[in-house]
Amino acid sequence: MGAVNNMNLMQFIATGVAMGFIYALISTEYTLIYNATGLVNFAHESFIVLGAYLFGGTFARSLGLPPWLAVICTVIAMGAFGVLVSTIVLNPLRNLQFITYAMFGTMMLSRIIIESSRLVWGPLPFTVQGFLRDSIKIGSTFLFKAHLYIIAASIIIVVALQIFFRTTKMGKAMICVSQNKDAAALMGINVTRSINLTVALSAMLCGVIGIFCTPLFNISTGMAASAALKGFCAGVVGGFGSYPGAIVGGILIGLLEQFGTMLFPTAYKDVVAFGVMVIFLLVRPSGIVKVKKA
Amino acid sequence: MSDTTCILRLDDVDVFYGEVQALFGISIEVHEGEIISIIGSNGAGKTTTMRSISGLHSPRGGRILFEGEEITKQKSHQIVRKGIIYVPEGRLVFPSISVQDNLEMGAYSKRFSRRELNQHLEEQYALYPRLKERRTQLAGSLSGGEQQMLAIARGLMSDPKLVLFDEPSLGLAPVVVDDMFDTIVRINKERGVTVVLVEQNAFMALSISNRTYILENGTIKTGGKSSDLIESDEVKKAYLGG
Repeated sequence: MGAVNNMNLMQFIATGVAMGFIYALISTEYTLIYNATGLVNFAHESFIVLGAYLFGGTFARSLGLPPWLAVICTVIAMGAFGVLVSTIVLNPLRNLQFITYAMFGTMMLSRIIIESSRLVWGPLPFTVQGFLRDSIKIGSTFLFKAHLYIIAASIIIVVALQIFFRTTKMGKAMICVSQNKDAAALMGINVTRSINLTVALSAMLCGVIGIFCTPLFNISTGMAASAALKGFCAGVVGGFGSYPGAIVGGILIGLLEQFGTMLFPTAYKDVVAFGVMVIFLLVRPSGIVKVKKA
Repeated sequence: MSDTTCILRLDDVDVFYGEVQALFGISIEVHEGEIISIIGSNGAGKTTTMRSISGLHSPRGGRILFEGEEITKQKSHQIVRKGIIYVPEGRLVFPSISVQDNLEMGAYSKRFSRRELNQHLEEQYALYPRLKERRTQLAGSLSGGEQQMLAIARGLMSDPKLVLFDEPSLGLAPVVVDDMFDTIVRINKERGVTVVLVEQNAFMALSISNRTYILENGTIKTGGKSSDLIESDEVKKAYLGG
């Protein structure tokens, strides 16, 4: 990212939008759990790391699966992991009297996942060679292939999620559970199962984000730390709890931090996201898209 | 009422919130086709009784039987499938989805085809034409009275055998209150739905119901034919303002 002069506008936008979509998906992923359970999942960063390790460490490297199959396996494994976490951690925690217990619970979960990953896959960072690491040339511009894949896949995911929530019975039930759990139960919705599925969906999304991060960063336990925080900023900027807000906030932050490098030294790149969040908290704490609460 | 079958029976039900006991050995019997009302002051345990029947809160002691089958420890979503619908106090509509989506969620426990679903929607719209006018609006934007209509219509979407109404007149304008009770009677007569009605508006509850239980501090104080109770001096004094 050092040679700002050599990058042209196209590259800037592609990079900004791709990173923006990663933040947007992160924001979506924890919004799912927040809406369903009322808990902020402080373990979400570790879910992303686990997804990347499962993909890179186990399915792509150890088992040598082709990338598309490794992606599918990762998503399925993360879904199963989500159901497990929901059953043994999140569902019991959300029924506790104090939300602080639940907060600490998810933080502990995060440590457990990160340290287990270190035990299983070792402390040294590694990469998946050849996975979306090359560039393609359009006219005089070189675009990083991973960025294009991330943008395309993210758009598909965002649209698919909207269709799922608007048209399927399971998706509508999830929306109802997030609005009122008693009323949802009185409609005949199995609230616990619906929450399990929501957490599974969130974990699958984390798995995909982990895969997206694989060609951008080395796979390590700290790989998602800054992205996870910026995803949180995206949620605050876009409107906490809103799915369209998550997308708008994510892409806004992705683009701002990219164009910020034109004005400030690259070392200050990370400051942009947090600066924008602070400004929003001061000026418009509800975010761009206001969430209606009854 | 000896010629009709008992559809719902509460047998000596004890309910606790934490360590605080809310219901003390409540026994209630509801026969098929009846309108039963439960009246009592604030905090008497009316809503707790409803929440226990609908499975939102599990009793610690006693039994609840629906059509002869024990449902005491079952979860709400299982109880709904058996045909008991609870129209809760405060309506609890889903605020940020449309009126029609709210109604469709009411049929969640049923496997309706699109045609059956539309037919059920039309039935509810016939009951409350106002809801049809507002079907694309978000439920949160409806007035209190309209939300109450929506909560009732939503409950009827799954062809319930028994509907529990919790304070349906609460917060409604006096003009609308009469309509609300008319509708409850209509639902009972025209659709053959058994009704349990919890009300603070004791006079209304007594006038439309067959039998009434009076709850006081978590116990059944008296019970009997509504037409008898409405004439009783004690009831007049305590619940009907002299």
